[in-house]
Amino acid sequence: MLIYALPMAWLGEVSVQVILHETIRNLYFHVTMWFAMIFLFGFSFFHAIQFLRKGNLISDMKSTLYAEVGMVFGAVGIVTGMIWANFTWGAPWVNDPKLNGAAVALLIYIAYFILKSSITESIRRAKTASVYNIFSFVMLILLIGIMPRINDSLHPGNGGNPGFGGYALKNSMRPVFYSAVVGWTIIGLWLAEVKIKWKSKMIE
Amino acid sequence: MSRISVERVKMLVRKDLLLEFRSKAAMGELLVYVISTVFVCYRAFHSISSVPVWNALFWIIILFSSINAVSRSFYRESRAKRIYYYQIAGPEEIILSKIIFNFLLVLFLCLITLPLYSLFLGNLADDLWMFLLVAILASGAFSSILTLISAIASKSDQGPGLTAILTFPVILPLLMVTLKASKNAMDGIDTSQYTNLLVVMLAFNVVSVALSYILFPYLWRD
Repeated sequence: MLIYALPMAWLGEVSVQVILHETIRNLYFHVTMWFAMIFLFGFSFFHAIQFLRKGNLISDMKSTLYAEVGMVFGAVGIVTGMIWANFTWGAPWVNDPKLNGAAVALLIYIAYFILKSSITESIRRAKTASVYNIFSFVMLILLIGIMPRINDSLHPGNGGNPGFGGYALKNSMRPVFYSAVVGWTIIGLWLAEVKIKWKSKMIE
Repeated sequence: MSRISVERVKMLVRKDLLLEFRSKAAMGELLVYVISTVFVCYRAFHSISSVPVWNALFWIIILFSSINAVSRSFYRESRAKRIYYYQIAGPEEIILSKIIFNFLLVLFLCLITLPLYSLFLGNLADDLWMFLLVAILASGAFSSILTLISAIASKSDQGPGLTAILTFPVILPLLMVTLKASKNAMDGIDTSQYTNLLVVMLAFNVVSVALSYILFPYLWRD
């Protein structure tokens, strides 16, 4: 998927708009990074629940590794977003609910890793971290679901700004965008999978 | 899993309240913490005429003092006592009683901070009743989030200091909603204009209590 999406992201036909110009190409990176991050955190959340239900330490390890890879995607997403914001809004960081949400998401998972590193006994660590993971992920979803509806956002599709879906997105961009979403998610899952395999080998 | 008995929850809440009010150290610590924070703010600002600043400062004081108050809730009891409680009551009852107790504690904090703060820094709240309603909703959500997180932190090897780190990112969204709602209340805006904010705060209450209820049983036994 990415083999298709990446060259298209650089070379493909894009809808050049006022202000955005060619930075619209960032859509393929920034937006898709966030989608992939949420998916990865979702996987992490799922495995945390699995761990609490079955008590299998492998699930806990998976949960952690998915969260780690999600963090990488989140960090890249924030950096690409800042570059984009610098072009379009004139500043790398503005007071915007989505940016705050992103910052909160990263802080939550940083706190999660601090919690993990502060407990030495493995079963207790796994249990405690899973509980925190589940709790904070639900809060994060609540935040992402609610905040943009309360505060106006500068992001497209919020607060009277037209969404990309309306007219900005040329039809030729659509397949590239969706395949980029799927592609990045698969890359993320693959990275996590590799890490899981490697960790499992280490344990053996 | 044992059924929840309201009687037992009530009893546990009573036990916590008695312990809290009987010990001069615990009560005094809370009061002095709040009084000295307000006084420091007074010395730093003298008087505040801007509504957003007044509002922000008030909630920051409440946030820190409630983190301070609630983070002890799973440390105060010795290990032996804790094991005893676990034998006479189920985990659901324990977490519910802790949440109710902490709710009363945080609400109490709000209620003593508000007059003190108004006395020193001037009262700017236009619609006092709505402000109090926001305070009640906020203390409910604060206390339930903080209770579960302090339970989590009590399992770590780091001590209660970890509570603050784990709390901030989770509580930040709630704090933003609270700030917005209470600012509306202070400006005396008609309630119908921000009912959605109150509903969101209520949702935070419900979700965090429900999650604590579901998740705590996994935590309580080592």
